[in-house]
Formats: sequence, C-alpha cells, structure tokens
Amino acid sequence: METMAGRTRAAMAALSQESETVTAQALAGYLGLKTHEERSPMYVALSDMKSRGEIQDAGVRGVYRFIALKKKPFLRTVMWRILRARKSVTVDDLMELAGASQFYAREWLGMLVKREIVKKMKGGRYRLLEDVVEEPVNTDRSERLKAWRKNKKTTLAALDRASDAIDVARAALKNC
Amino acid sequence: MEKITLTPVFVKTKNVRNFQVMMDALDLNDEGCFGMVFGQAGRGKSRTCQWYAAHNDCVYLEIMTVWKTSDLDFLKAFCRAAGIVSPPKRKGAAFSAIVDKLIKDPKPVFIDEVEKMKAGFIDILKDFVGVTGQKFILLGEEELVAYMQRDRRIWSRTFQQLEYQPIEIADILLYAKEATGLKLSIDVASLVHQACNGDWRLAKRALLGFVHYANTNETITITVKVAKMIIKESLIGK
Repeated sequence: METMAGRTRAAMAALSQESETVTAQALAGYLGLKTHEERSPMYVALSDMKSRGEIQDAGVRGVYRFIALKKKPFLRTVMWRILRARKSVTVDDLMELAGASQFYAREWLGMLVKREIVKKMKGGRYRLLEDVVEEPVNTDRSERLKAWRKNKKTTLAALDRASDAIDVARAALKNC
Repeated sequence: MEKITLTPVFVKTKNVRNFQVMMDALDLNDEGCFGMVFGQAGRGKSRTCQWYAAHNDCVYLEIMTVWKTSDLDFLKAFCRAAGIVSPPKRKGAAFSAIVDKLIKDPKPVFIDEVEKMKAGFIDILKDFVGVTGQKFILLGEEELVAYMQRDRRIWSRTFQQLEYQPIEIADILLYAKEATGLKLSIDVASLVHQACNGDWRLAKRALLGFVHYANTNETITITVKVAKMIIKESLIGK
C-alpha cells in the first residue's frame, strides 16, 4: 500500500504539470480527501515535503510550488558505476569517489570477488573481470540481516519466557 | 597522540566547482551539444568526471588506443557503458541501439581521452549529438582544443569549455585538512604547491610523507624545514 507521502508527492507532480502552483484544496480534491480528519495526514506530508525542500510556499497560505528533487542513488549503485567506469578500483577509490566507509567498500568488493565479477590483484586493487552491466544485488547481506533479526526475535521470546517463569516462581515463593 | 591517517576524500576544489557550473550551464540547453574539459594530466579531470557520472547517472567511457582502427569496437564498448547488456555485432545496429537507449533514457555522456582516436571519429559523436539531443562532454589534454576546432560544425556545437587549472595553495590546505586533519601553514602549502607543479598525485605523495612524519615523531606540526626535507625525498627523489 502506498504511503500518504508517496500519494501526495505523486499528486503534486501531476497537478504541477497543469499549473505552476498547486493549492492544498486542489491536492485534497485530487486525492479524494473530504473531511479535515482525512486531510490531516496530507498536511503532515506537505509539511515534511516543505522541510525537505520538495515544495515551496508560493507566497499565499495553502498554495505551493513543486520542485522535483533528484533521487539520491544508493551507495552500492554509485560504487558499481565507479567500478564500471574505472574497470579497476581500490577500497580508497570507492571511499573517495563514492563516499563509502572502508568497511562497506571492503564488504561490497568481497561480495563481488565471491561472485567472480571482480578479481583481487596485488596491492589491494580489484579488477572487473566481466562487465555484467546490471548491478549485482548483495543478497548475502540481506540474508545475514534476516538471520540476525530472526535470531534477535527468538532470543527476545526466550527472555520473555524466562521472565514469565521468574514471575511465576516469585509468586509461588510469596505464597509459601 | 592519536594516529593520523590519510582518509580518501573527494575535495571540491576550484576546478571541481567550475566543472559543476559547466554542467549546470549545459543543462540549460535543450538541444544536443558538446562540452569540453581539457588540461594537463594529473589535474583531476577524469576523477572529477567519474565522480560526477557516478552520482548523477551519466555514461562514462574511456577511449582505448586499440579502438583507433575499429569504430565497431568503440560502438560496442559504448553500448555496454550505456547499459545495453548484449551489444549488436554490426556498426549500424550498435549505433541505433545506443541512439534508442539515449532517447529512452536520456543522460549526459562523458568520453575520456578523445584525442586518442583518429580525426574522423568525432563525426560519429557529432551524429550522436544530433540524433539523440544529448550532452557529450569530451575530456582530454591540451590537444583536444585543436582536435575540436578542426571542424567548424563540431566547434559551433561546443557550448562549454573548461580548462583544468593547476591546483592552488588553497586546494592543498583544504585537502590536507579534510583528508588528514593536519593544519598546514601557508609556507608549507606553498612549498608543496611549488614542488608538485599543479599535479594532484604529487601533492598527495607529499601529504602522505607529512602523515608518516607526524606519526613517527608524534607531532601535528609540519615545519618549513621538515616540509622541505620530505618534499625533497618524496617528490624530487634526491
């Protein structure tokens, strides 16, 4: 299900193509929001968009000007583009040009080595073996995160059970 | 004392800022055009373009000398750089594939070391500019200017030119502060500036020497005497 922020942004983009400024009234009409209660999340979304610089006040209250912001690419996408452009990179190159941390750059390159997309050379240089064009997705990382979350959930459940057992034992001791 | 390291950071020098202004100016054009970035080696042209292309979803392609005799090899490499997974094996088809891709997904194109190619090569790029209406930014050394000026039709389509200037003392100071945390004095920075002759790589080498010295001697002050010694050892090689 799309969020109110997403719907508001899409509506703003659509309406701003028809006229330079967009009123909150027109926006609510476009989104089919009738009551004040229904419109309330839209006002919150508008306020957030204003603080992010996506919209500007047009000088009159409730009238906005939409500024389409460029979506910032993911760090891994930037690193992939740099690797494709340079054909061989070091961790330092990725840190400098992509702004990645040393840990993340190393981990990402390690994933590419594992998949035989790059080869580690002498002097910490990684050479692109095969330009697969499409950006490889780091599933290792997401699987590890998934496993970590699952582990956390099980541990928390075990802790809850232990805590309940302690409460029962305490109550039993009090009654003795 | 905490160990000083040379953290790789991309510093927005005067050249980089001028480059961004040039890209913004090119964006104002609705029709296809050329941009030109030239200057001596080691001033950071390619690095700036790679940085910009990676953050702004542009096509970046560095010319290889072996393509000099084969336009098809160039077109195939261009296809891959533009994101075409399996490039066509014929010239015409490869050209059309790139045109289709750039029309469908418009983005600026950076071509590095253009002067490596034979003179007629620029006509292929001119055709791309005309058909796709995209911005083609060509990078090279000083010869690039003459290469572009040879053809009037190319030169008239070159809307923006930027010469990469030698690095300045302010750039060295800024880089030293951001990458190492060392606050160099103007005298030390000007010594590095003189010795590196506008080349970033040499300036980085000198800074690395300063970092080694600072860590070995547990100090954060680089005096003029020390700087002279390090520059002599690392840059002049005596």
